[in-house]
Amino acid sequence: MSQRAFRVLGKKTIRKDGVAKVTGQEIYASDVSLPNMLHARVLKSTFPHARVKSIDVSGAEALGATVVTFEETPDLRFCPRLVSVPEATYKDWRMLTGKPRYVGEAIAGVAAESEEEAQRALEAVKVEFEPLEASFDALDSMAPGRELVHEEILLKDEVLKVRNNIACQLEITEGDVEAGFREADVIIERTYRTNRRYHNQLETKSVVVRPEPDGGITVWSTTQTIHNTRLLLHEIFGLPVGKIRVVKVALGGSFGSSIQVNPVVPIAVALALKSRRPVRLTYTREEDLHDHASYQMIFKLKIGVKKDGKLTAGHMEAILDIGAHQIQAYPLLGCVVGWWVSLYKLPAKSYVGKAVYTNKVPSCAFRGYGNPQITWAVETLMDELAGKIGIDPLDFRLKNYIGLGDLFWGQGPTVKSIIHSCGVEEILKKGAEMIDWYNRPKPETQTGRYRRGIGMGRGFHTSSAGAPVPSSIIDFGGAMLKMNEDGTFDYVSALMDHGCGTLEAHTKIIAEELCVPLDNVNIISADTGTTVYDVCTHASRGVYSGGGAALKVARQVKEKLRDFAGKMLDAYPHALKFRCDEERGQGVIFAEGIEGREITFGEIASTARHKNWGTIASVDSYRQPSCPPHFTGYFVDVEVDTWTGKIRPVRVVAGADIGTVINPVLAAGQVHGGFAQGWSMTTLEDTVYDPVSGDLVNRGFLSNYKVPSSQDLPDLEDFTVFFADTYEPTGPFGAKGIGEGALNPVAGAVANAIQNALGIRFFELPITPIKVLEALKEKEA
Amino acid sequence: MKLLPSFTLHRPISLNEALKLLSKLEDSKPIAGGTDLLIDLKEGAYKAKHLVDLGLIRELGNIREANGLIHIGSTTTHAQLVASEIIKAKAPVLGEAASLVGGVQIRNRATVGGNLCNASPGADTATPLLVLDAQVTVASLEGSRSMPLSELFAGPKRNSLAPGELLTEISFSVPPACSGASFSKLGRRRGCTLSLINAAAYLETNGATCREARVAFGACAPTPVRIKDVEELLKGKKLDNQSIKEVSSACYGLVQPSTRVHARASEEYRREMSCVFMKRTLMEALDRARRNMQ
Amino acid sequence: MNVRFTLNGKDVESETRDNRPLLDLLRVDLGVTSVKKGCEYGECGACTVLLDEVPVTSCLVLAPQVEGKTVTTIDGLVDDPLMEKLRQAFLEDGAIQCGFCTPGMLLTAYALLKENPNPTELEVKKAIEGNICRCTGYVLIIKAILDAAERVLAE
Repeated sequence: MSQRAFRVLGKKTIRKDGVAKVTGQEIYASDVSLPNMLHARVLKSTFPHARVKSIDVSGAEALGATVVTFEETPDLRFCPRLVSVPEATYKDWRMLTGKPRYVGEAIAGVAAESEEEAQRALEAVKVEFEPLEASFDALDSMAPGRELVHEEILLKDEVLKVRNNIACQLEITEGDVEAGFREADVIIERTYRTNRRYHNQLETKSVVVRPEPDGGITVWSTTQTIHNTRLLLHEIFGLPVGKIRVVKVALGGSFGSSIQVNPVVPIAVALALKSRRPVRLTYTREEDLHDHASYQMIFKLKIGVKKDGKLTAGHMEAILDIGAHQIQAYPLLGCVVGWWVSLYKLPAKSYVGKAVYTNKVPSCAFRGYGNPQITWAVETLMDELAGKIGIDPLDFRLKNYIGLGDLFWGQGPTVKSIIHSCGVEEILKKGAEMIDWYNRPKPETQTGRYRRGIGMGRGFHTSSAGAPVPSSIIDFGGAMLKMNEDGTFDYVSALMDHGCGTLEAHTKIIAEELCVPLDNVNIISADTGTTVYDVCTHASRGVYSGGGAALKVARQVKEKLRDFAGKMLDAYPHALKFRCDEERGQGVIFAEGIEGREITFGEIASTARHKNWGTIASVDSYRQPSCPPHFTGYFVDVEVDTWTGKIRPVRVVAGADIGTVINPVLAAGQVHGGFAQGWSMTTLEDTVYDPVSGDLVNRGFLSNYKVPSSQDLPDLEDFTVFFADTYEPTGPFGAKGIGEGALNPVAGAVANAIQNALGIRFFELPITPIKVLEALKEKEA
Repeated sequence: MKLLPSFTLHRPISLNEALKLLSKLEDSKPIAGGTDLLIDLKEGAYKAKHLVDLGLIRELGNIREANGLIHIGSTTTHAQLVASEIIKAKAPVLGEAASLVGGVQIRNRATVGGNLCNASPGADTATPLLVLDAQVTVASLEGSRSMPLSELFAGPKRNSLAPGELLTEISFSVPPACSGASFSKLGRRRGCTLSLINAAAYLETNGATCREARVAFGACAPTPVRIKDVEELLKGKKLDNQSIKEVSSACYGLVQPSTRVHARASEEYRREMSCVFMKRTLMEALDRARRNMQ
Repeated sequence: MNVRFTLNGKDVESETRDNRPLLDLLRVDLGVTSVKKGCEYGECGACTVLLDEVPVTSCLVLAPQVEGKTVTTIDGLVDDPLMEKLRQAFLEDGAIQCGFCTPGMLLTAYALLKENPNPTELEVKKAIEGNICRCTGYVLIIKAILDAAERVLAE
């Protein structure tokens, strides 16, 4: 179905939080300041694996500081991410630990009158460590006889013994894989190794906690979910849920790094409860670099294909280096296979996934949740397979992609649904035309210093994580909408906006449905006490699920408006029509063709108040009916300097199928940002460990962790973004997500472009200048 | 969290006052832009009880030309080097190198004297100044002395100044019309990046023949260095694509990049890049020398 | 010790210490939270302020060093016509996502357009190289700065 005509949706509009952001007035967690507030610092392990033999905090206390250590905080194991059902939740975290498992793990917290005083107090704490053997590579870590990172962990409340540092595993087989491979004319098997990236969200993790007179607490923190923050604090500290208030504040980027409750949050709560004063804890950049990273993955991938281009079978072994703790390793094992098998039609497939503990910074979701990693591997292999059977790689993809009417289970085997909208063909064909795909360079013909290559990659991400039946993932949200006395609306939602303009999209959906000017829908600051539950802003669900919730309450409000208007106009409510009167700046309800039977929302609100009819409002929860993929495709033109090994993006054509486009500018912004992150994932970023110290080689310094600057991307006229003409029938006004799909295929496209330029394939990320030169030398030799 | 250690900041308004402070105060260090020093202090690389801020000493902060020499005060910022009409006209290579240091925020603070005295092996202003054959003037209460810039560098992040001494000026002869100089650098990304390697070259030509050659590398040895062997190979040679390529390839064995595990690029890669960057800089220097002659 | 300087057009005097970064003086002591703390190593540009009209990273300036100088943050340019144009272009072009880099980015762009009212795309990219943005890929930021320049010139 094609795009429909809308009054507000699809139009370029100015985001409602924009003015606060361009004037510097927006408040982030790190900006919250309260009277009488203490400042906290965290004492961290300098060893990658150790036991704390003794800790002496008397020096810090003598300086007047409040100190909490692992010896006194609740000895409770938990999982900081509360998105899975308890039966699928592995717990191996403590808020402070006497057995640190990575450099940077928290042992104690200190609060004092200023950050400087807190730091001095921290330096006065004496700790004696007994170092233990540590592992920094997943394969090493799994070897028999290695020191266990965890001996026991909990699954829900059941104790599990850990063997060979395998945190959890998942195996799936569908169809006759052996037969599938026998049927194949060509089989390729490769091993791929990804990098371990740092989110580098601009705002470091931060929290402010205020103890309340009733024994409760109020929390402002960097989070993607206020309700799960509240639930985890309830779980750890035993405070009644209603006594914990978590307030929404703007988030200075996140990209998945605050799906879990960040370690700073419970530490600050413990300090606030102990000192009975407000406490602020903001990580430095170094600390933040020791707080979270992406999942590093090793894939052994084998796919068979017939000469006619039809895939026959696939087998994958995935090893996930998850660092020292589980945040969402188990659901990720499901997603990794889900991302893989939902790209292309594999009649038979088998999968073994293992998540492995190492003594490294814990891994968490990073935009795409494993999808960019697996899509890089698959898109690289698809190109190779196409080459082997002599089919154009683009035609090969068109032949095999999973699309309209197919079964889709991106979010893992428990989240299956049928695809009802798909723009893959449009994206690939239009993109190919724009980049002149079929005339791309031939690697064998290039000889000079600079070589050009064009590559493509395609992919998808889910919009939400919920299918028609319950799964092991919790996914629902809610919203509240009330009409004010002048006919405008207040919209209240627990859903966090990370900067993508998600709440802005919700107000557009409401304005569209209610036929009011966009200005008449306000976004109201909110907290856990004033909102109904929303699981988390993740899985690109903000527009699809969150927008669905907004639409649901808007429809309920619309019915109430209809009833009130029916009374006032002496008309049948169900016969009344709505329109937006831009001149009067009001929504209007009218009886078509009958003169004088028309009333503005403002008039309804006013009458409702004077006649004591009450406020028109609605609050409700919403579970989306499906889990539709949004699709993306990238065509990238690169230039490789064969003298230095440096790679430069020259031209980018990106197509996206996101259903109805709610704001074309913000949607394009997601694509631009997705490309930038994918580009640096492919060519630049990695966190490497020093096996001697067990610390990051860059010791947490941003000067030694580069992300792209303004000069690293193509010129404006060389970066084209277009949207496919699709409509998702289960989405609010046909809309789907975009955030993660905007990133997922980039690494594959860039790697394929490099191959096109040099005739060389790389199986390890990032593809650095050094690796390029080494490969060129090897090729020439 | 690394806190800045406690120190007393002194803000003299004359050179003499600064020298007195530096000689009188124990554990004192001069601070100019602070963009390296403050980070080093946080990291504990230096200890200093007293910082003597050179920012108010006007005489140290300007660029002038006199008697065929260009004089650059040590607290001249990178932004000043980029904007200076004198530098643009007479030694554009220095402005180009300065423009590739940090972002604009850093260039507005960081000074050329600081960049040189910080003595990072990859200091970006060092290589162009080395090939311009710059002299540095060092002042102390005893008077002032002059020495070639190369003698300022004592090792990685170590300069040769004695306690109480201060770098006050960098100077070099205005290059003749038959010369050309160029600078290039390799970083991990395109903007705002430290040098994995940088190179500068200066050529004077006599028609097609090389009359004088000076070349230097950054981040290829414990300090920024001139590569005299390459210079000797170039002198008297007919300069063209082929000869430059040959000479450049000699760099591989002539540089001594760091072998530290924590280095930002491997030794092997730096050696290879030394050839690539020498060639690039020499070609460009030659091109400029030819254009300057016209 | 006390430091006296002009902050956003007003004379201020604040007690401080020799080792206090300007960033902390502004954020903690004077409550100017539009100046963001991103790295404290001069790497990210989130703490950019204008010091005597040129952009600097306030994390690497010592509080006493601004004695007698002028410090401008985005709060001081609310009524400035050029900043108004930049703000409007950022809003209309979608150059803002999380907004954490935005105040620093706008100040750097402002200083650029003051000095060079008609920059090329390349000059814009060069000018903002010290301001890291992790959300936008810079594309719409660059476009917004060029659009603002065009609007100023058209007047």
